[in-house]
Amino acid sequence: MKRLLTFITIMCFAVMSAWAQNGRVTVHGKVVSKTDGEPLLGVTIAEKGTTNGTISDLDGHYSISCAEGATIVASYVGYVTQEIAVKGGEQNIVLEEDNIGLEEIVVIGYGVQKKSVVTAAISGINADDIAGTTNRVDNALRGAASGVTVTATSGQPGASSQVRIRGVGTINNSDPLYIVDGMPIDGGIDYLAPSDIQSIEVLKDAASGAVYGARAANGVIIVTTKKGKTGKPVVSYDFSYGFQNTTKTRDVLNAVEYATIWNEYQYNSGFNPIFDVEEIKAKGIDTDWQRRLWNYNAPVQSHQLSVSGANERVNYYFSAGYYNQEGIIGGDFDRSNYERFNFRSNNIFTLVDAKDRNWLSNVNVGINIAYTHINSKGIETNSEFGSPLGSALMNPPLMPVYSDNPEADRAAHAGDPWLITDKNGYLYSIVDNFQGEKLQELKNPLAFLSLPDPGSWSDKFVSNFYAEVTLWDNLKFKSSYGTDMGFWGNRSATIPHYMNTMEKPSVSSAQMSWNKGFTWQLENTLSYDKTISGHTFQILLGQSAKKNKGAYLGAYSKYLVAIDYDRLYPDFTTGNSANADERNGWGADNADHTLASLFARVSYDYKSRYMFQATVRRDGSSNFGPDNHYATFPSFSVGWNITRESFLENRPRWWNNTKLRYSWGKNGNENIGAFAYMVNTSTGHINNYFFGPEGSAISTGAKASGIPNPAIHWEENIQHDAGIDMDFFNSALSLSVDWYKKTTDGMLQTQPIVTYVGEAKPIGNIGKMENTGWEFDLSYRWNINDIKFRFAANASYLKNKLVDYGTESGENDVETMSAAGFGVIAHCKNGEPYPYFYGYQTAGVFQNMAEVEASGLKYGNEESSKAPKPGDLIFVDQNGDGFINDADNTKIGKGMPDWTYGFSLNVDYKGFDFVAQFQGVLGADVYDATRRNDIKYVNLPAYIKDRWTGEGTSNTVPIFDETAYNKHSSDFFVKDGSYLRLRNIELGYTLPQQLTSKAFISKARVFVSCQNLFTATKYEGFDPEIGQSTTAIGIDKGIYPQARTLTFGCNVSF
Amino acid sequence: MKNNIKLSAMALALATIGLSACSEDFLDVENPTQLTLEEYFSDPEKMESSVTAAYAPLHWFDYNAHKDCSYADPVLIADIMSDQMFVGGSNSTDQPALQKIGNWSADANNTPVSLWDDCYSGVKRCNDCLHYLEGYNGGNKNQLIAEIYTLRAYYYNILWKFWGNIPYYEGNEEFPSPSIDNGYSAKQLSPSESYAQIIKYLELAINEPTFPSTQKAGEEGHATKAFAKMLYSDFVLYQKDKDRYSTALGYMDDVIAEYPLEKDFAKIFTEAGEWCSESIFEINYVKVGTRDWNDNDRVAAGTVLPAFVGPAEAVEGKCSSGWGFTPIKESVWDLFANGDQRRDASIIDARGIATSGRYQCTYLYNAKYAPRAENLASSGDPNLSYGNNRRVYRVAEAYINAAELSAKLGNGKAEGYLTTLREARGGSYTGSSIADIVEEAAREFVGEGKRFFIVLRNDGENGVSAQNLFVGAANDNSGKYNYTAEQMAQNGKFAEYNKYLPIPQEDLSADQNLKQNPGY
Repeated sequence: MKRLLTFITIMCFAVMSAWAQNGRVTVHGKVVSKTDGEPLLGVTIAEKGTTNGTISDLDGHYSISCAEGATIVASYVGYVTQEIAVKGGEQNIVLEEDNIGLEEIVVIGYGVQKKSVVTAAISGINADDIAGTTNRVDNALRGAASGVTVTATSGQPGASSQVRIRGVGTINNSDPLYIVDGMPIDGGIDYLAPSDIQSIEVLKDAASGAVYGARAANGVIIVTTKKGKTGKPVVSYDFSYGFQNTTKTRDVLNAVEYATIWNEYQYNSGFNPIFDVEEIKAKGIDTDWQRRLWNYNAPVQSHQLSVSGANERVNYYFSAGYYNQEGIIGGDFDRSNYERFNFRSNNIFTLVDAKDRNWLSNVNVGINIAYTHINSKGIETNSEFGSPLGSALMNPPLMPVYSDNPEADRAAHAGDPWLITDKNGYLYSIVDNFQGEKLQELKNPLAFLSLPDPGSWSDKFVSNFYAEVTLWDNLKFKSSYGTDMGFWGNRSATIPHYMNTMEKPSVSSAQMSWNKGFTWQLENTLSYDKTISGHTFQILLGQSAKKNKGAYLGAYSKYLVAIDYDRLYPDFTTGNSANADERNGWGADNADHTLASLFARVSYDYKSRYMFQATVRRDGSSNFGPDNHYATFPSFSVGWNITRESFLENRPRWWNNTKLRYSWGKNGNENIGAFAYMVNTSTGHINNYFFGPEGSAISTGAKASGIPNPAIHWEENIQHDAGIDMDFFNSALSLSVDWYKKTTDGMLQTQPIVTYVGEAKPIGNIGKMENTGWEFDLSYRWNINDIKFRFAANASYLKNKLVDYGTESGENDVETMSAAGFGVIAHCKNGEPYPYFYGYQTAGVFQNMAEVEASGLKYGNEESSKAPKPGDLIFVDQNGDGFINDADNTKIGKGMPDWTYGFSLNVDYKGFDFVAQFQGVLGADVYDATRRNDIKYVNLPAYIKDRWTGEGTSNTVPIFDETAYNKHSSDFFVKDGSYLRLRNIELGYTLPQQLTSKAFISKARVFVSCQNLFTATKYEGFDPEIGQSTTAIGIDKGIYPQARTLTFGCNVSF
Repeated sequence: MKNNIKLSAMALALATIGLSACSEDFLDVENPTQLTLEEYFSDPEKMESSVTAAYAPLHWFDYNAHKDCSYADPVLIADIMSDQMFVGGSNSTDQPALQKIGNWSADANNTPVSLWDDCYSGVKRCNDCLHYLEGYNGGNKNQLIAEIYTLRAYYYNILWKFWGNIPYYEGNEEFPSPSIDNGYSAKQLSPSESYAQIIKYLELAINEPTFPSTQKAGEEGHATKAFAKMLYSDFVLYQKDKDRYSTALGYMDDVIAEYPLEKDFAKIFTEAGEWCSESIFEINYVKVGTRDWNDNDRVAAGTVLPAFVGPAEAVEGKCSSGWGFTPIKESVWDLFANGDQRRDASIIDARGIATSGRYQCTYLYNAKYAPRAENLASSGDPNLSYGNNRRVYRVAEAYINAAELSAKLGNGKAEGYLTTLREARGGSYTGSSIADIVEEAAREFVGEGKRFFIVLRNDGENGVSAQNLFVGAANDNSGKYNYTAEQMAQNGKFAEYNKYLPIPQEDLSADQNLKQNPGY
C-alpha cells in the first residue's frame, strides 16, 4: 500500500507578524515524528479559525503567537492532524503517521487521488516491497500485486520478464504500457534501478487506464521515482553481494544407463546393439555435461548511493548505482553477463509560493533526468537447436568434455577450420560424429562458450521537464515535456572454428550495429479541484502529443586481420570491396510513429460517500490509414462507501470501512507497426536473381511489400469491473475483492488467410478475446508485545478464452517443433484459452497384443495406417473413426496458470526485520520438450528409465524405439507446472542508533537474504516458470533456470 | 511578478505548440525506406526489377527456413517419390515430411509446404508483373509479357504436377491482391481445368514473334521460347492431350534443331557445363557465401542441394561430404550398359570406399548435384554456398518427348530420336516402344526429378505401370533397405491418389472451399 508524502507541495500560510499584544501568548517547541523521533520540517501550525499560522523549520522548531485559550492545529501530509490547546511556553508536538488506509494517496494517470474515493481497480507496491529486488524492476512485481502475472523468460542475467495484466488481452502484443514519471517508456523499464523507485501502480481496469486510451488495453504500469524528503540532506548507501547457483540439475542418463537404453532401442527397432556396456564401464567415461557447464557461485553485486533532501524552495534526489551479475551458465566465460550503471537527478523548484493571494499563488518547476548504461551478453536459451543447456542435456555421456585422443581428432579434421581449445590449449571433444550418427546442431557447450561474444550495450537518457502553475484558486496548469533517448547496439563475430558438421565457418567476420531511438512527448493539462459543502470536484483537461523517431546503422566485414578477442570489429579486417559479400552495411531512419490525443476527466464525490468519475480520450495514431487515424475511448466508474451512510453509523467499532465500486470503459491498442494499412515496394536479397553466367552481377528485384488492408483500425477492449474494499479492526485488516470481464474486439492480427496468395498476409481487425477473473488482496497487521507482524496476500484467478479467431475454421497452430519430431505442440481454437498445448491424449501403454486388438485402433491416416504394438502409447481416438491421426490432436494442457498468488510475512522486532515473500501459480502446465526425437544417440531425461519393457512394466512411459508416433506430441510430454516459490527471504538488523550516531550514521542496517531458496513443484525440469512469448509460454526446451542467490548486504544512511 | 507572467506566457505557448501538433499532418508519416508501388513503377526503368522479383522464388526451392519441409526442391521430392532413390538422411525421422513422402505416408502436415508456397509466390509476382506491364510502353513490352507467361506456367507446372487440384488465379482485378474475392480464396480447379488455362498462355508466349527462342549470352536465366516449348510438351504429355501431340512434336523438333546435344555427358553437370549447348533452362545459383539458415535463408547466392544429397563422407577425387540424402538404389546402377557415359556422370559409387553411411545407405550418390569443390564458395556457410545451377530442361528431354510423342502418334519416327540420343551417350540399347523410351529416360535423368512423372504419364502403356513405380519404391536389388510391406502405405498398393501430394493443412484450414486431394 502506499503513501506519497513528497509529491504534494507543502501547504503554507502567510506568516503574520506576531506583535506582542494583550491577551496573546507565544508558544514554541519542536515537532517530531512518533515513528522515529525525527524532527519534521514544514509542518503547518495554525491558530484554529484564523489565518494566523507558521511552519516548522529545518530542526522541527516552531514558534507562534496566538490568542489566549486558542487551539493550534498541526498538520502535515501523511500524518494525523492534531489539535492542541494553547498553554503557552514550550509545547512539543509529536505527530503520528497516518496509517489509516483511507487517507492514502494513490497515483492515477495525470494526478493523484485519495484512496478513499478511488473507484477504479488499481494495485500498488511501494519502495519497501521493492527493497529486496536489485536486478530488474519487473521482478519486484512478481507475486506482489493481484491481477499481474509476471513470468521470467529465463534466468539469464538481464533477461526480461513477461508481464501480463489481467491475462493475455490479445494475440497481439500484450505488454502493458509503462509510464515513468509521466513519460511513456518503450522497450521495457530495465533501465530503472529498483532502489530509485518510490512506488509502482498497476492500473488494471479500463476506467483507470482510460486516460491513456489508445495504449491502455493491456493495462498501465505507472512508476514514480523517488523525491527528496523534507529535512536535512540524507546520504544513503546500499550494498549487496550475492552468490548464485542453480537450484537443480536435471536428471539424465549416466553412461551405463545410456548405453543400455540405446542398445534396447536398437534391438526394439530391429538393429544390432552398438554399445558394449562392459567396455564402457571399464573405460569409465561418464560425463555429467550439466555439472561441467554450471558456473558455481556466480557473483552478483549492487551498489547504490543517493543524496536527497528538501526545503521550501528545492526538493532534490540524486542517485548513482552499479549492478553486476554473472550468469550461472557461461558467466565464467564472459558469455552471459549483465552490468548496469545508473544515474538519476530528480529536482523540484518552487519558484513562487504566495499563499496570500488567490491568483498565481504557486509555480513549481520539475526536472527529472536519468541516465543508464547497460552492457549485456547472452547465450541462446530455451532452444532445441544446440543451445548450451540444451546440448548439455542431450550430449551423450560417453563423450568426454575434452578430446581423449587429440592427435586422432586433429588428424580427422585436418582440412577443417580451427578446432576449439580451452585457455590452456586443451582440445575440446567434438560433437559431430558419434557412432556414425551426426548429432546435428548439438555442440560441446564448453567449446561453444569458449568462442567470443562481444555482446551488446545500451545507453538511455530519460528526462522530464515540467512547470506547474496555480493560476487561480485551485485551477492549475501543467505543461510537461519529456524525452526518452536511447542508443543501443551489438557486436558479433565469427572466428574460424569447427563445432560440428553444421557449424564449421572457415572465414572470420565481424558485425556491428547501432540503433538510436528518440521519443518526445509534450503534454498540457488544466486541472481544477474544489470542495463546496461536501461536494468535491476534480476536473482535468489535457492534450498530449508524442513522436518516436529512430535510426539504425550496421556494418559487416569478413577476414579479420588477426583473431584478437578485443578487436572484433568490421574495420579490423582485410575485406576488400571487390566482393560485395565481404563487406556490407545497412542503415536508415525508422518510420516515425506519432500519437496525438485530447482527454478530459471529471471526478466527483459527495463526502467520500458517493463517487463518480468519467473519462474520455480521443487518440490519433500514425499507424492507421488517413480514414482511421482517430478513435475515442470513454469510461466511467462509480463508488459507494456504505459505511459513511447514516444508517450504518451505529455499526460495530471494528467495522471501519466498506466501499463498493463498479467501472466500465473502453481502451485501445495500436501496436501494429507502421504502414500495415498500405502496400509499398520492397526490395531485398530474397527478391534478387543472378542472370548470366557464373560471376555475373546480381539483378535487384522489387515487389509489392504485401497485401494491404486500408480498413484496419484500433483494437478495442471493453472492460467491466466490480469491486469491494473493506477495512476492519482500526484498519489492521483490509480486504479487497474485484471481479472483471475484459473483452478485446477486432484484434489486430495477421489474417490467417491462405498462403497461396503468395504474399505476406495482411493484418486485419479480426478476432475476439475474453478474460474474466477474480482478484483478492488481503493484509493484516498485528503486534505481539514488541513484535510487529504484517501479513499480505493476493490471489488472482483468470479465465482466458479466445472467442473468435477470425477465420472460418477458428483455429490455428501457433507453435511447432517439427525438426525435433513433436509436430504441432501449441494450438488455438475458438472457445478455448489462447493458446493451449496440442497433441494426442494418452490412456496408458498397450501391455499386450490382446489389448491392441481389443482397442481396434490403427495409427496413421486411413490409407497408410498401421496397428500399434505392445509398448506403444494408447492414444485416445477423439473422433472415434478408429484411426489415430492429426484429426485426433486435442487440448492437452496450457501454459498460463488459472491462479497466480503471492503472500508475504514481515516481522519487526527491536532492530531486527524479517521478510519472507512467496509466490506461485496453480493450474499451469509445462510442455517438456527437452528432447530431440529426431536425433539418434542423444541423452535422455531420466524418466526414460521407467519405459515399457514388457507386459506390466510401465503404463506411462512407452517402449523406446524408433516408432514415430510415440514421439508425436501428446500429453505424455505435458507435466503439472504448478509451483510455490520462496521468492525472497531476508533477515536484517539495524544497529542501535546510540552506537551508530557517534560515527554520524543515522541508520545502519545489515542483512542476509536468499532469493529463490526453494520451489515446491512436481515438475522434473529446471524451472516450471517459463516465459518467452505468449504462444510459447510453458514450453521447456532446456530453459536457462533462475538462480538461487545468497546475498549479504548493508544499508547505511548519514 | 513580471517573471511569473513570463513563465505563464511560456507555458501557454508550449500548450499552443502541443495543440497544433494534433493536426492531420502530424499523423501522416512517410516511409523512409520504401516507395509506394505508384512511385516505384512510374519509372519504366524499374520494370526490370519487377521481372527479377518474379524469378526470385525459383532459387528458394532448395531451402526456405520460413516454411515447414524446408528442403523441398522439386528434384528431391520427385525423386524420392520415384523408384530410383531412397530418402536417406541420418535416420527414419530426419526431415519427417520427406521420410513420409518416401514411404507414401505423407499427410497434410507432412507435405512440401515450402515448395507450394514458393511456387505461389512466383505466381503472384508474375501476376503483379503483368499488371505493371499494362502501363508500360517500352519496346520490349510484348517480349516481357511472353516471358512472364512462360515463367508463370513453370510455377504452375510444379503445382499442377505435384498437387493436381490446385487453386488457380491469374488476376489483377483486385491489384495488388491476387484476383480473389473477399475471402482471399481462389477457385480450385481440376487438373484438366487449370491445364486448359495454362496451355492457353503458353501458346500466346510461343506465338509471340519478339520472344527470343534461345537465351542471349549474358542473360542466361531468362525464360525463352524454347523453355516455353519444353513446358508445353511437358504439360501436353502429362495431360495426355492427344489433340496437341503433333504441335508438341513440332515444337520438340524446333528445340532439337536449336540446341545441339553435348558430346561429353560428364561436362553437363560441372561448372563448365552450366548453360552448355544442350541446356534450355537452369535455375541460377552462384557460389557466394551470403546465405544463412535463418533470416537470410533465401538470399540469391548458393544452394544447399549438393550438401543435402552429398555422401556422408567425402569421396576422393569426386566430391566433398554432405548429409547423405537420396541414396540411389542399386537397381539404377544396373540400368546402364557398358560404355554408357551417363553412369559415372550420374552416380558416385562409394561402395567399398566409404566406411560410414547414413540411413538407407547404398553408397550410391547423386553425382549430378554432388558437392564438388569447384562449385563451392570460398566463404560463408559451406553447406549453403554451392554454385551448382539447377538444370530444369536439357535438350535430351526434347528427344525423349519427341520419341514418346512419335510413338503415341504412330508416325514411326520414335526410333530416330532415340538413336540420336543413344549415339551421343554411348552404350548399346535398342527398342523404341514406350517402355524402351521410359527406360531411356530412366538412364538419362537419374537425379533430375523426371522419372516419377514420365512413368505416370505412360501408366498403362505396354510394360509401364505406376504399380511398378510403387513396388520399386519399396525394393532395391540389394534388398538391404527395403521398406517392409508394413512400412509402405496400403501394404504397397499404388492407388490413384498417390499420383498427388496432400495439399498443406494451413491452406485447408484457411480456405473452407479448398478440398484435399481425394484419398488423403
